[in-house]
This record gives sequence, C-alpha cells and structure tokens, in this order.
Amino acid sequence: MNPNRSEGQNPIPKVLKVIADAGMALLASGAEVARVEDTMQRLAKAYALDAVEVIVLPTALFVNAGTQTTVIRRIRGRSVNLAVVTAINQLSRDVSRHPIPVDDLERRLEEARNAARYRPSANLLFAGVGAAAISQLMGGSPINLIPAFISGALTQFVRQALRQTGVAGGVADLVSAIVAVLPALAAAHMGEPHPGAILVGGIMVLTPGLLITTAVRDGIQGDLLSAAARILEALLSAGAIAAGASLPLYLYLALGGRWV
Amino acid sequence: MMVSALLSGVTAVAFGLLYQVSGWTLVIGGLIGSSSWGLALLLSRIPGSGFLGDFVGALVVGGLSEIAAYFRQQPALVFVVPAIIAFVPGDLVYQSMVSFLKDHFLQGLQSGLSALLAAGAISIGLALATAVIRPLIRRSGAK
Repeated sequence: MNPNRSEGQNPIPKVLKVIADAGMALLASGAEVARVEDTMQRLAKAYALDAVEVIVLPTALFVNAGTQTTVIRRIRGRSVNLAVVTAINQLSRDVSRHPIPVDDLERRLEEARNAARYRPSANLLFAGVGAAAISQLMGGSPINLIPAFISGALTQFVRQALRQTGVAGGVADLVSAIVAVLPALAAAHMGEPHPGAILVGGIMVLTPGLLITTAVRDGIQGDLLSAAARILEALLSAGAIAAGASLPLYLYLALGGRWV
Repeated sequence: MMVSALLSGVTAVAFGLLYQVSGWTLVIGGLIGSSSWGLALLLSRIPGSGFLGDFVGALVVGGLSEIAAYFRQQPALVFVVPAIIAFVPGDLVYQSMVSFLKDHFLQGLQSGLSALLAAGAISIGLALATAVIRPLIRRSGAK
C-alpha cells in the first residue's frame, strides 16, 4: 500500500499483515475470539515478534508489535466455514513447529482460506438431507421426507443466491425463511400430515447454531463484548427467520388453508 | 430410539458438510450427535425431567467435542456446531409461532418461553463443558 515501505526493507510489517489476514479469515469464518487471538499470538511468536498485543472484536481486529506498527482489519462479511478454521489452525501449529518464510506463509494462508469448499450444488444436497433428517426428528412421518428435502435445498439455494447479491444478512434470512415455508404449505394443502415437521426442517437450515455456540464459548472465556454481540446477532437472525416464516403461514391460514 | 439417534447422526453429518467439515472430523461429529441425542432422549423419558435431556445432551456434546478436539488437535467448534444443531429448539419456536398466528396467545407464550428455557439449558450445558471439562483434559494431558 505504502510505496515507502517496500517489503524487502522492513519485513516486520509484512509478517504483521499476514498475521492480521490469518486472524481476519478465522474471524470471518466463525471462529471464537479466543481462538483467533491464540492463533495470531502463536504465529507472532513463531516469527519472533515479542511484544505483540492482539485485540479481537467481532467486527474488527488490531495487532500491534511493540512500538513499530499496528495493523487494523475491519471484518464485514461473516459466514460459517469450519474448513477454513481447521486449515488455519493446522497452519499455525505447523508454522510454530517448523518456521517457514513469510512469503510461503502468505501463500499457504491463501490456500487455507479457500480450503476444501464443497461445490454450491453439493451444499444444496447437504441442506436437503439435513432438513429431511430434522423433519423426522421433529415427529414427521416418512411421507414428509421429500417436501422437507425440497424445502432444505430450496432454502439453501435462495440463501446462496442472496449472499452473492450482497443483501444485508437480516433481509436475506427473512426472504430465505419465506421461501423455506412454501414446500410445507404445498404439502399441507395436498393433505400431508405433520406439515410442521417439514417447516421446522426447512427453517433449521437457517438457524444460527454456530453463533449461539461461539457466543457461549466467548462468554465463558471472558470475551464479553463478542459474546454480547453474537447473542444479539443470533437473536436478530432468529427474529428475522420467525418473521419471514410467519408471513406466508399467516396468509395461508387467513385464506382458510388446511394445517394440521 | 435407535432410529432417532441415527437420524440425529445424519443431521450432524449433513450440517457438518454444509459447514464445510470433511473427513474423519465429520464421522466423529456424527457419532457425537448420535450418542448425545440418544442419551437426551433416554433422559427425557424420566417423568418430570423437564429440560434435563437438553442440558445433559449439550453437556455431552461439549465434553465429547473437547476430548475429540484434544486428540485430533482441531478446534472443538468443528465438532460442537454440527452436533448441537439437532438440539436447537426449532420445534418449540415453530409451535409458538403457529399458536400466535392462530390467536392462541397463552399457548404461544408457553411454547415461546419453553423454547427460551430449552436454549438456556443447552447454553449452560455447552458452557459447563467448556469451563469444566476443557481444563481437566488440558491439565491431564500436560502431565
């Protein structure tokens, strides 16, 4: 960025930048604050940066190495990608055992960031199977399997499509939830029993399960700010989902639709 | 009950895949989901057990995940998140929603509060696992 500070002359900012990028990728993939701070500290130690102070918030992170430099990163998009969390965790362990040049670290970090992603079409299948399994757990009968599968896959499809357009998270949740309910309504209209099980299956694809888990873990570790922010995010998301799911169901019931 | 435990395992695997987990981690996550759900179901048969099943189930998920994380040298999150999905009280939230829509206010309130309490029980179970089991494992491992 800064032409006066070329990479060869002053290697420390480059290391710091790479460390900050690693932390940012972790945080954006849904890791807990303690893990992000741990990983960054471990990397810093591996590169012999002693007085490194790291502050991680849910939406931003700061790394400071002594009096030399501070690197700040703003985290905007957040999603769930546990492959990235695992890969960067592994990378930081490897590096602290056998240090590698910074350029190699940067390259391997880039690889880790794009770690083992399944194709978008495969994700639809996973969401469908997940929704179908949930529908059976919630007291559905085997006849509910197919609509629940459709509901899960459709919900995931809409969510993926909306994520690419960059719509705000809450709105995306709301619209996805509206779509998630439609197969259940169709099934209920055709006289299938337990439409509720289908509905729950479709909506579970959207549940902020990771946010709740990380919020609890952050809270127990004493990262109160992050815990509070994540609980708020989970509540907002759950509210948006409930509102989105209620709307078509309300219309359907108001029109005198069949719902057992 | 076996079928139900199996379904919970399938759920954990499917959601694990959705969250981009792969390989053995996925299998272990599925096993954790299965065993914890089976145990929770068994406990919920005790009369008057309330949310005990949810609490113990989440505790088992958290505890087993910490153990798996220690041995596999991976973040515990990778095991917890897929396995906990089945415990999310989506059913109660749904019932509350439908009750409100049908103008059954008290019923809606009851289901809604139950959902909140269930979520609380799960959170406490997870928190306890992280706060108590994790240090125990880490310490015994260091010796």
